[in-house]
Amino acid sequence: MSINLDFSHPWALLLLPLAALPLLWARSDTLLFSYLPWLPADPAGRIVGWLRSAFAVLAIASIVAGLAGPGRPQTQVARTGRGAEIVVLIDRSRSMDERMLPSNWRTIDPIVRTQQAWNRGPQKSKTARDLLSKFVAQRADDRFALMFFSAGPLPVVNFTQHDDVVLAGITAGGTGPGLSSTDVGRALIAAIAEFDLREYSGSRIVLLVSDGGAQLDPPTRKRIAAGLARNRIALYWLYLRSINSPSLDSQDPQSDAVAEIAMHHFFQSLSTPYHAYQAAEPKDLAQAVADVGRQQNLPLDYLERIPRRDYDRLCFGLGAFSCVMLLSFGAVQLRGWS
Amino acid sequence: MSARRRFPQGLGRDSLATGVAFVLLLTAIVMPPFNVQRSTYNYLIVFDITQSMNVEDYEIGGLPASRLTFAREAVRRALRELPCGSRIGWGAFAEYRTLLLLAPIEVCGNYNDLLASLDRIDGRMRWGNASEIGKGLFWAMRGARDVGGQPKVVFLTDGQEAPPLDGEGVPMFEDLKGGAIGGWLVGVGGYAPRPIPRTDADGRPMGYWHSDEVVQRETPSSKSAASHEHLSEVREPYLRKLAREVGFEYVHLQNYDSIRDAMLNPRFAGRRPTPTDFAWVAAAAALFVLNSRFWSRLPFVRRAVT
Repeated sequence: MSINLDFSHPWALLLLPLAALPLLWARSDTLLFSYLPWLPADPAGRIVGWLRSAFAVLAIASIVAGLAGPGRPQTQVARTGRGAEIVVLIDRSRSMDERMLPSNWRTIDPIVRTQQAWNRGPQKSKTARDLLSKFVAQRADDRFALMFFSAGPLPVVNFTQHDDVVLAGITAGGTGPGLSSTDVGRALIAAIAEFDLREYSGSRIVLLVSDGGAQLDPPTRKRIAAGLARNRIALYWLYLRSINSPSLDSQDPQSDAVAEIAMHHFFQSLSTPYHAYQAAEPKDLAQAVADVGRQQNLPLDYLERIPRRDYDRLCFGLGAFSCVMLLSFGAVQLRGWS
Repeated sequence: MSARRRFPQGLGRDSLATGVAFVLLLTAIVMPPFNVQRSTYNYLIVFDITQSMNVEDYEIGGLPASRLTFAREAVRRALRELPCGSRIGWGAFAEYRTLLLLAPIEVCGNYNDLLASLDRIDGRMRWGNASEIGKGLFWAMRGARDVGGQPKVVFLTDGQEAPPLDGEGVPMFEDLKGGAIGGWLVGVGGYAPRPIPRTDADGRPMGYWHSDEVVQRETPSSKSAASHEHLSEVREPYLRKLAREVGFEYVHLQNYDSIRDAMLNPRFAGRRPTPTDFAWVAAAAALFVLNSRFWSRLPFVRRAVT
């Protein structure tokens, strides 16, 4: 790593000429003597005098340098870690405001359960927000991008390692009710396109967080399949099941009429990796998030940011040391003849 | 050799100065950062992304620029001037809703990500073609209330309601109180009516909206001006009225400075403790004291003394 240095207040360096002051001839230091050649040679005195000026210069110069705020700028170092590049694709449609099943749902009468869809249990969007926040916070080495979708894709955060931004996006995604329309197909194509023109540097995931599917038309299916294959992306579907929504693993041949199941079957037919996590209760969702975390831990090239290091204290220390030296030289200087 | 000879009087002043400088430098080294109350700002910035915002009645670098592009550029420039510790979040308005995109985050640490995010706010995000600005503003206020951290709202719009409002407009949502949130309503657009470009969902241009394709305002008598809802200009009287109703300030986006001055208005500043390093004060004092030893050596100072 090369040593590079910058100053946060470079204008302070304008004071640097002050350091030349001690080199000027000083009348106050002189003593009267009648005839110079009578003075004995004093090599030690010469060296001390020279050192004294040097330390005075050093003291002033180092304080000025310290004031200018020297430091090693923030740098990035390429490292190889374990992790993934993940596009989190969050459904912002109205249905995400519905509740998940309360944890004791099996004991509740089915009719009552339906009535409770709007007022019992945690909201799906809120549950998703909490768990995704935890997920992002736990996986420090991953790079995340964030996209909402409704009628179209709403790209929010570009690929970044700054968790704060991703978390702010997830927070925003859980604030306020959802929108009326949903188009999973367009959203998926947009999420896949996020990887276009990106260098392949490790495992890639599109994490679809949604509570519903859609019947995708053949051209859309084709584009999704081709895109996933071209960009080598694994697809994970975090399917937030609510009351009355179908289970994905129905074996009924008629079940393709149900949008969710049809989409699930299409994803299963893909040549690229796919995994669905059905989450009916918050606890299932936690399990699913943990699972994604375990599965995608392939080597990933990433840039580690090394924060700025300030050297101003070091300069002040050097200045203080010079002052001590000055004091000790001052003590042995001959100030007068008597 | 007497003690007096080894420590003659001349030593006193110079050594004292060096000693004081030394102590000041030690202070600078060990001094921890202090918390200082500093003015910072906290805004949720909402962009109108409806089609009338595509009207190109601004210029950037001599080239025509759409209202949305210019508004984004103005906000980007303002972002640079916000003091560290300020927080900015994004929202978009279309149809009758404001959707939060990014909750407010600290500006300096997340500057690049904030800009990258801002760049992607455009008409392609649109989830509906209507433009009910009153409701959108109310939703933005709800968003600011619910997102945490009590940000002020900056709502950038041209004020063109589509379909047009008849009469008084929509009353404010009951759970909101005028003046409780506060912020700026920024009028974007020129004063001359211009045709509105039409785009499809992917942002591809499709000509302009025609007068028979949009809902026109009801004109009760022949005396009042004919409705021209297919043309768009900044609707200032309406925006001013709306701003009064919700307790916002109104400003017209005339140039980049309009939004910067609005956002840096001290009335909207919050005070938050910011750790601040004051080591430089002690070090500067040390420099001054140390230099006082040598001032007299400057040729012109020397002449003045003797």
